Amino acid sequence: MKRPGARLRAIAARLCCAHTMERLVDPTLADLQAEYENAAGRTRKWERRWILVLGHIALIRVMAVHGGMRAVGFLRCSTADDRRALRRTVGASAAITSVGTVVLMVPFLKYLSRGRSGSVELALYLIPQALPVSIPVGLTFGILWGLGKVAGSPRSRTLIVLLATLASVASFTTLAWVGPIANQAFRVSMIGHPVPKGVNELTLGELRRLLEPGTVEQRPFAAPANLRSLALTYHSRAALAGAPLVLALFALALTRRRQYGRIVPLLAGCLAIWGYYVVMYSARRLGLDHIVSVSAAAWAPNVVLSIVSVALILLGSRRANGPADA
Amino acid sequence: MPRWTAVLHSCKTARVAKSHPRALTVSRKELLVLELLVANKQLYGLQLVAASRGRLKRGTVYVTLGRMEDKGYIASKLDDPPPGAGGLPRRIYVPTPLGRRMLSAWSSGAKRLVPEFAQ
Repeated sequence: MKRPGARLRAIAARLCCAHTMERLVDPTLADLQAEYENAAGRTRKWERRWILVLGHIALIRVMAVHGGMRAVGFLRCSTADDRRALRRTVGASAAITSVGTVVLMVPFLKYLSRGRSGSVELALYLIPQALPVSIPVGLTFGILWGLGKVAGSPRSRTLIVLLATLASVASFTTLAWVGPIANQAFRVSMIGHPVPKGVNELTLGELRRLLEPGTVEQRPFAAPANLRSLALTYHSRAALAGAPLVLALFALALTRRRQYGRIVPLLAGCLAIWGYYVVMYSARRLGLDHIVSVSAAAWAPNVVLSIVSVALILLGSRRANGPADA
Repeated sequence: MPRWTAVLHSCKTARVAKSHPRALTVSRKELLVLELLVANKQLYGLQLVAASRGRLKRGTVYVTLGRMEDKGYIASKLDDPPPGAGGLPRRIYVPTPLGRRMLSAWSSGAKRLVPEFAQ
């Protein structure tokens, strides 16, 4: 019979080093097993189950606290160059994202008449629809600007990848829930009475439910003819959330060696963002025409840009390892 | 007076390299662990949690103990493995001479500065 916590220990062994296993994970699990063994002699089943729950919670907390401390230690050990590169990258990313968000809101600002009550509220509803575009653009140019002159160490690059992952999570939250809710609130506020939701106003969960068989008839716009379009929208929302991460990887690949200066990477960044949206719309067309599957069409821009980034990294490595006179 | 304290503190922290191990610092939790271990000679992690009456949590006690081991205040050894296959041996903790000295130094210093401690 397996001892309690054996499966969790196997997972922890994959994630943690031997020192962490020896000092933190194993003692916590040993306590859990000892407590469970002691309780096994008693008749109360719920008590043993409660011990299992408490032990598992303790182990998860141990790993979370340890992970947090490792992250703080990682940041504390960063050099002045690392911090400068990070400051520049985060600052530039935040500034470009803010400007981009405002620029993307401009076409809709005409709907907000001067002196109209609730104009500020309406303007706030516009922010989430701009973020999925402004975040990846801001992050890409922020990295290209921040690491353009400062040599980014592996540590600062790891932190930037972490930042890009957080940006992707924020983007996903916006695309999946916050954006659709804000869109609908904007429409209702503008019209002044409740209106039926369009595709852009459906949250990810509502879209998924609509794609289930038997629920298509519930919405007039979701007729079988545009069911594929609906499925493509569903997959595209998840795929577009990956844009900050793949564009950040591309920017990191470009700034890996400072041989290109600052202008060339910035131009390459513009090209990458333009290319991303060209591939996205082209793949969407192919998906709607049944040439490729909807998931392949949705994820195509991320896959293409990831391949380009990997190729750039490999090319840079080959040049770095090549003969000095080459 | 507070200004001088701030100046001295800034001089002290400026002299200490950032990579300097925090070997001679002791937190309240660490003091509590030392007190319990000195009083009981040796304890398991879960026994420390129970003896602390809620001041130590079972989710963080091993993080504190690991840190204290790194600082050299305590030492640990593995207990005998439990009967039956697959069981993990428990780790038992004892205070080191440095840990005992740290506790007595802190206690005597605290008693001198705050007379209420002596009562």
